[in-house]
Amino acid sequence: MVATTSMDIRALPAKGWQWVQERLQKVDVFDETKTELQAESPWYQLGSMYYLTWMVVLITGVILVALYLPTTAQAYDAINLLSHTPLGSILRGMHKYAGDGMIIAATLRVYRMWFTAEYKNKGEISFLLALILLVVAMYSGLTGYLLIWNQRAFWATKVFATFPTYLDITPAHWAWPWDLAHYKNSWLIPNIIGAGTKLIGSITHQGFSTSQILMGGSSIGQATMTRFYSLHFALSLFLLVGSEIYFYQNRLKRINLTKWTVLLIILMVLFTAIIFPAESGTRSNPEVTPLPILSDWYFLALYQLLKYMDPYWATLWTVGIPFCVLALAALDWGPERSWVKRPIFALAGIMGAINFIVFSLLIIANKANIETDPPYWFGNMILFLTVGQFWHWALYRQRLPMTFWVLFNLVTSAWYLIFWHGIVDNDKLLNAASNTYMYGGSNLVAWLNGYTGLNYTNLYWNFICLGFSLFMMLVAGFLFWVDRKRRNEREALVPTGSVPA
Amino acid sequence: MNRRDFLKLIVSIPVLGALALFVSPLFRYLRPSSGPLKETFGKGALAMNGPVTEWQGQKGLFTPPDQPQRERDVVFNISDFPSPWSYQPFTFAQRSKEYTFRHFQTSKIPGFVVRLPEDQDGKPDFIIVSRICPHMGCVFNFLPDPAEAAAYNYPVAKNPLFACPCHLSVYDPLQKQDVNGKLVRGKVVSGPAPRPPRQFTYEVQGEKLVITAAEAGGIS
Repeated sequence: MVATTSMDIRALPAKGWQWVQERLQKVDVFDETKTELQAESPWYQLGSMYYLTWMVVLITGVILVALYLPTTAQAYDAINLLSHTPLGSILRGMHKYAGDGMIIAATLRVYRMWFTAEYKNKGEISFLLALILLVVAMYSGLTGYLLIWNQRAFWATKVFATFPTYLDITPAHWAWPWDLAHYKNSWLIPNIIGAGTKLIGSITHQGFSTSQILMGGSSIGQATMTRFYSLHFALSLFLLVGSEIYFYQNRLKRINLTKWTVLLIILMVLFTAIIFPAESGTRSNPEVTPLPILSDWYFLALYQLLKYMDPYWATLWTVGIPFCVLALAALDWGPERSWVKRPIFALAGIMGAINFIVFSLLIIANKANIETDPPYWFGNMILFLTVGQFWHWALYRQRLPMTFWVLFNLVTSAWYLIFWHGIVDNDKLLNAASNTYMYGGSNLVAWLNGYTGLNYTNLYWNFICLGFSLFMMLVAGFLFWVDRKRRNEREALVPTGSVPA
Repeated sequence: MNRRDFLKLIVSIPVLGALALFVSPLFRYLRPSSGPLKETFGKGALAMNGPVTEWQGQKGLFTPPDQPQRERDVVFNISDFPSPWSYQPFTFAQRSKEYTFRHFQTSKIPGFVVRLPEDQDGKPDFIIVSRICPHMGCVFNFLPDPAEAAAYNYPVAKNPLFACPCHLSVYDPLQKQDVNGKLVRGKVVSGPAPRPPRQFTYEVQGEKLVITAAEAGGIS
């Protein structure tokens, strides 16, 4: 027994290496291996479109480098002058809109891979690369728009630089798990994670260090601009060299589009740049933050998330979203590739897209209320997954996952009742009763104890969640009953004597 | 695991550790506020670099950032605040040490002095806050008219407030909030901020209001 287990452990690295090799043989970075599918569907041309728009960004970028003055005193003027020159405005516009095109292509490509389950059948590394291409494009956008040195650039970068400092700071409602006096504000898992990051932070200061490495000092200034300028280049340069080596060694064609599609995309970028010239905004002023202030469109949804969550959790979630996508893909281990046959994952994808759009619209409308809004989007997420779960049940009639899902919903509802205050900063709602332990525990208990100063919105949502999970149980029970009845009918049809003993 | 693998593992640990030690100074160069390594720079080498002569934070690989020092006090006359809710903006300059050719970086912290409606012991009472939002570092505003707070998702405001345009945090100067066991003015009444604004230390010297120090933390 001992011998076999040690054998297994020793075989693990070789097996892992084999796993990676198998996937590297099928790797696909810019859809360059999907030439047959590309003729049929434009969805499979997205990788080539990403590469094409990237080339537009590189060519316009090389010219812009010659015209840009990377100092805090001159950058805005240099860009502003360029924007008021006929061809300069087009040049800048093409750089910006081709960059936006890269992000659109990368996002749609990730969605295509998600809905067709391209991460299955040895496509894991290709999916990872598609996510990396998206993140790199977004990060290039972030480092790029500081260079304009306008108000939007400055304040978006300020937020971005303040983000990591929360890794040294424990959540607002932090308390040791055994500190019952603060239990009303705490939750076990956040406490453990919070204690962990704070402990590491006391040795490495990872949050402030990251922030200072990004800014090149203790506040945003010339050093920040130089660093962002170099990073803006470096990301593209390293990727360009890497992708050229890849294409050259594997003798693959770079852009598998017809010349008309290439022309169409370039003309789209060109005409967008002519019709909607890239804005310069107003010169950055470190002493005034305008209201409202928005980031570029692809970060809007994340900014809305910042308005809805404790900043510590918002920081962790922002970093964690790509990892959650990978984890979710890893959970999808069945053989099915059609999205109709994978309802839970399909609905998770749809939910992500809807949240992205709705959050972006909400931040443009400057609407965010941390006390009342989170239950809506949290409930919406649960609802989507529930629809997926029942759809899955209808397809496969698996009782164990269904039972698990109903229990999960019960736990979620209980969590709503008891721990709601630990996730969203609801201390503001509870200040009148902050010294009553029962109120900290749950609104329901407070209500039963005759406490009158409670927040009815909160109580309402607690009841909604409890009611929802009870309703779920009824539906699940009904489905189980139908299933049982059908099975009984089927068994009754089979003559008892016909089965050989 | 056989003997050879075990020996390989034992040898690889110090090799990797040494590699990490060689790489760590590179990260130190990227972080300008981190002091120079004693081993890398002798005292003579540092003296050539200029007037930075103090040795700070030499314990361990990961040194805490140097604390910034104020450049000068900010002084107001008490008569600048004739009535309740009269307010004045100011800028408090701080020097952070940098181990670069610049030696230091000056950062400016915008602030507000607001006279509170109720006097304390017959003297006017003030709230003096850094305008840098403790949430994500934007510069927040003072709203003398409570009706303006509706634009910040806080339509129920009764008195003047501080409000941040970036993520709509609203702070009430009249209420206090617990920060690490200490009650601090400027309770968060709406929005995602984790704590009230950072406060300035001040003294009243006769007819003068002298602002002497800023609370540490955050990015200015």
